[in-house]
Amino acid sequence: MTARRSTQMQLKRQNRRLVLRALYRGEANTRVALSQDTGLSKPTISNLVSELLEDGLITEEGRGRSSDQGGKRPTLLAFRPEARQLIGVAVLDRRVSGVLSSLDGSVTARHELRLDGARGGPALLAAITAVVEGLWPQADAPLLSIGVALPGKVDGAMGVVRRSASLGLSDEPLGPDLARHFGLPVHVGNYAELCALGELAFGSQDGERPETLATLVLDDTPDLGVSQLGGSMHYGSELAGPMIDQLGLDWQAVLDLAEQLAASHPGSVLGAERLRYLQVRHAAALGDDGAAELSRLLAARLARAVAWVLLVVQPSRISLGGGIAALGQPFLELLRAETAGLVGRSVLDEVTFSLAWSEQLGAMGAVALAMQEQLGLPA
Amino acid sequence: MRPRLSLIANDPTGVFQTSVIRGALEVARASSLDLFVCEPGPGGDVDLESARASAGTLVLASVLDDAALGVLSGGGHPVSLISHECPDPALPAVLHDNRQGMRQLLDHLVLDCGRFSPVFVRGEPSQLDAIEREQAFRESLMRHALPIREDRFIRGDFEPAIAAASIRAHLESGARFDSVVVTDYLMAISILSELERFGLAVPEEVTVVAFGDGPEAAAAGLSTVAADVVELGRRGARQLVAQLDGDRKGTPLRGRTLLSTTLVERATSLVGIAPD
Repeated sequence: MTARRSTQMQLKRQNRRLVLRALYRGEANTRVALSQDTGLSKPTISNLVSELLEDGLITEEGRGRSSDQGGKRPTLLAFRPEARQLIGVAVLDRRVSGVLSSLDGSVTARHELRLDGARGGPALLAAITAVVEGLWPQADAPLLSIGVALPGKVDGAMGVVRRSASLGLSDEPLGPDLARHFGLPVHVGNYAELCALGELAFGSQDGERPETLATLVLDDTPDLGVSQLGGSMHYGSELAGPMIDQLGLDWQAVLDLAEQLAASHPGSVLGAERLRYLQVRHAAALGDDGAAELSRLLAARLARAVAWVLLVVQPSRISLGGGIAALGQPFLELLRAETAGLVGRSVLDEVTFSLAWSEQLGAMGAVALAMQEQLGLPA
Repeated sequence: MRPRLSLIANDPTGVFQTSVIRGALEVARASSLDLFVCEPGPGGDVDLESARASAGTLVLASVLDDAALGVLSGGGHPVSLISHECPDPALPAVLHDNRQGMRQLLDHLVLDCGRFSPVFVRGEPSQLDAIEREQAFRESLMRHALPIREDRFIRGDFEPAIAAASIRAHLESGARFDSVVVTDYLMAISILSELERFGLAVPEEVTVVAFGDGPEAAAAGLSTVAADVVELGRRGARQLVAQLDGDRKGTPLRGRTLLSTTLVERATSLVGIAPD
């Protein structure tokens, strides 16, 4: 292919994305409005709209009103979220869970598989494949692509997991392997980054869409993801990894801290086998001093990470995801207070704190990544 | 003769299983397959050989134990489970999202209705739905910072008569509570009758909510989390058919497909009734 032809194709792809995005966001719903909104000529819009109609991604929905000058009533256009479906898969230390989603983020089925200690490339590939296979028969529309979110360093462009200690992966070409198996494009990203992307793309619990969202995910290993509204950028895991690692926020460090506190708080829930964050929250609420102390110490540790993120990334929202989200609103208030002690209250005036809105956020982030790569939506 | 699927059920005329069968039948017909429903004989035995002679088998709830499922699925006979799970052999399953449903019920009870002292009516303790719903209920109590009192967990076994007897005994013991969370809506309807017999007004004095939904729940004005049972049958049949034909023929599926639930608010949990 010549360079000129390649550029033409890229330009056409970009224009198509502009048109689709305007329709997806409801910013324009006629050919004339699309031309005004995107700055593209009417013949270009007409060709792109014809293509999108043929692909079934948009539909004509009757006639609108004439302009003030009169004339022919324009044909109304609408995006069709049900035209394609995507599969988003999130891999965590203990399970793989996937969602089957329409283009508007509505989930029609979920599928999950316990990992039962499976680690390493072949086992992970088999588990992800099983989850996609489980969702495949439930699709009601052609599948567009597959997204995969997992903890660790990920080379998104190549679809290669460079390193994931918790999953035992090193230079694993998960994306190409899955794409070959399923015959669909597959996009791979870091779990925390995709949690942030998913929350921005499909909305948080309070319905707000912050400009810049930083998501701190604390499961077996802590991680950071940052996503910005209006752009396709998501990053963070490279930035914060070493800093977060030093704060003692991985699950084993939390358990060690709980064990230390249990010695000085006899009868506390901290002495329980298989302690979980939810137990800590419950016990603290019912007056367990050990559990309350653990929450406070965790908030103090995490506040250092949050302070660093606030100063470096300057997000408009900090979101807590992963298992630690089970500590709930009381913990969020502790965290805010501890953070204020480090950075000053004025820094927090423009920042909201929230909990990740859904346990399936990683998988929804993978859907968002796949949509973004394939259609330029929904950023 | 058209190829056929088998569906093994232990209560194929009951409301729940009839709806599941209807959904499975829709998908089977659309795939040009017949669907034969088998049920255990008087001694409880199921004709597994007959099922194995079909193209694939759907197994509904806990009609077969793990050993029988091993026999059924041996030699690669495709099997999908509905409302049941089997870790060994690892068979694919379609289930309602019990955790999501129970969380929706408790959020409604606590945040919307202002109820903080619920009694929990258990299901049949060996059934997966019963186990998951109780676990999710306990987690929801923790999330709302409510105490977990074992004396407020009473027997129901998914049997309306047993649930009615349990709540009766609980009331006679002088126990105080402001709400009842029931693992199945048919049990909840029998509990409504008992509460009325004891002169307790619903929802003014006691709020009642339950898992699952059907015409009986609507007629009783019972608030539920609705799990689309027909859809459960459809999804199970799709999962099974996917193991039979198409591009993915012979692919052994693993894991569980979960279907979402939605809250249906009715008279038994009217908001704004609880005293301050």
